[in-house]
Amino acid sequence: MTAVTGPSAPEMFRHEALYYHDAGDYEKSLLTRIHAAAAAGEPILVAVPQPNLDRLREAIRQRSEAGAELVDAVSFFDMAEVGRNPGRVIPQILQAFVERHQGRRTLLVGEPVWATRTPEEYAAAVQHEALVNTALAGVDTTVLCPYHVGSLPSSWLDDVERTHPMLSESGFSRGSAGYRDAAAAAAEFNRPLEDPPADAEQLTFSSPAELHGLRGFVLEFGARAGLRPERVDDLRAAVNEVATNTLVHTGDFGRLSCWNAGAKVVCEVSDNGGVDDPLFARRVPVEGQIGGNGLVMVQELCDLVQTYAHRSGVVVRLHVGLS
Amino acid sequence: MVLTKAEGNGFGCGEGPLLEIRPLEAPAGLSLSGEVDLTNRHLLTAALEPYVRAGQDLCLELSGLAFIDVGGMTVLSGVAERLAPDLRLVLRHPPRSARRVARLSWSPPGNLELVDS
Repeated sequence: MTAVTGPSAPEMFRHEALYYHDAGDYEKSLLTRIHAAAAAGEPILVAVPQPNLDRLREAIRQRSEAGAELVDAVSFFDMAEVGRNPGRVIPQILQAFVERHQGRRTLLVGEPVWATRTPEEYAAAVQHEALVNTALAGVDTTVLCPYHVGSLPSSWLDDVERTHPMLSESGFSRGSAGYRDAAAAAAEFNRPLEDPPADAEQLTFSSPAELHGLRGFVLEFGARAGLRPERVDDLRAAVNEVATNTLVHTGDFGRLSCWNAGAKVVCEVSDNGGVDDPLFARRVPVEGQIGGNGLVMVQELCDLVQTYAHRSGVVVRLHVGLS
Repeated sequence: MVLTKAEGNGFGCGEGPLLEIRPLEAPAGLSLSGEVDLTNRHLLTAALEPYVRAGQDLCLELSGLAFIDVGGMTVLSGVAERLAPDLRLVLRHPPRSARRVARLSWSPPGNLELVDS
C-alpha cells in the first residue's frame, strides 16, 4: 500500500517516518528498505545514533547477500555526533550526500530524535524534520526516519505525523493525516524561544565597527564562564557571523545576550530584520568556496543552534558546552 | 613580525587600525596583523588584487592575525580560485579561527594551503 503524494509526480521526494518497537523490528524494517534501495542501485546514507548504528551495520553485514560489500558501500554516520546540533544535518549531511550523487535516486536513513534529547535539542530536531520537506522538495530521494515508539513521549510522536507526509509501520506505508504541506510544517515548528533569563548580560550593536567590541565581550564572557579556550574561539566566531549577518541584511541594530545555563554558555543575537526563508540558517555552502554561508558554519561551531524567524525579526541562539 | 594584542579583553580597538597589511619581502605576499571582519575585508581584497594579477605563488603571513571571519576566509578562497590551478595561496601560521573555517568547509580550493612553518 503506497500513498501518492502528487497527481503525476508519484515518488520523487518521499519523507517517511518509520515507527519501530524493538531492535528486531528496527533491523527488519530497515533491512528491507536498504536491500530494495541497494537492488535499485541507489546510494545509501545511514545517520542514526548508537547503539542503533552498530546494530544496523552488523545486521546489514550478516543478513544481506554480499553483506560486507554492502556495508562498505553505505555511508554511516553517528547521528548523536553529526546531528548533536540538528541544524547541521540538512546542509552538511543530507544535502551534501544528495549533491555528491547528483542524477541518482538516493536513500537517506536519518534518526534525529531519541528519548534522551533535551527539550531544546528536541525543538531543534523537530524543526529539522519539518524543514526537510522544504529543503529537499523536488529532490529524487527517500528520507526515512526511524522513531522508537516505546521510548518517546506521546507529544513527540504526535509531532511525527505533522512533519512527515508518509508514515510506515510493520512494513506498511500510508499518508499522514496530520501533515498538510511543507510550508505549513515549517511554519508550525518555527516557534518562539523562551525569553533570556533576567541576569543575561546584554549589548546592542548597530554598526560594523562595533563587531570588534562584540567579539571582545564574547571572549571575556566565555572565559569567565569557564569555556575551554578553543570553545571560546568557536563562540566568538559564531557570534561574529550571526551579528555580521544582522548588520548586512537588516541595516538596523541587533542585540546580543549572553548567559550561563548549567554546563553551557548561551549567546543569542536578535534583530529586526524579517526573514521569509525558513531555511535561512540551513542553506548549503557554495561548492569550491570556503565559508559562503556564515550561518552554516555557525551550525558547525556550536553544540546547538536554535532559530526563530518572525515577521519583524530573527532570533539565533547559540549553545556551547563547558566540557 | 607579531603584533602584541591582548586577546582576552579587547574592548574597543584602541588607537590603531583593526587590520595592518604589509608587504612580505620573500616570498611574494602580505603580512596581516590584527583582525579581519566586515569592516575591512574590502581592504584585504584590494591589497591582494595586484598579486592575483601577477600570476605567481602567493604567501600570507598570519602569525599576527588574532581573528578572521568567514567572509575574510571567503575572500582568501576566492583569491586561490582565481589563481591558476598550479599556483598556490599559502597561509602561514593561520589563527585557529581560520583553521576551523577551512576544516569545516565543504570543499576548499585545492591550491589553498594552511601551514604552520
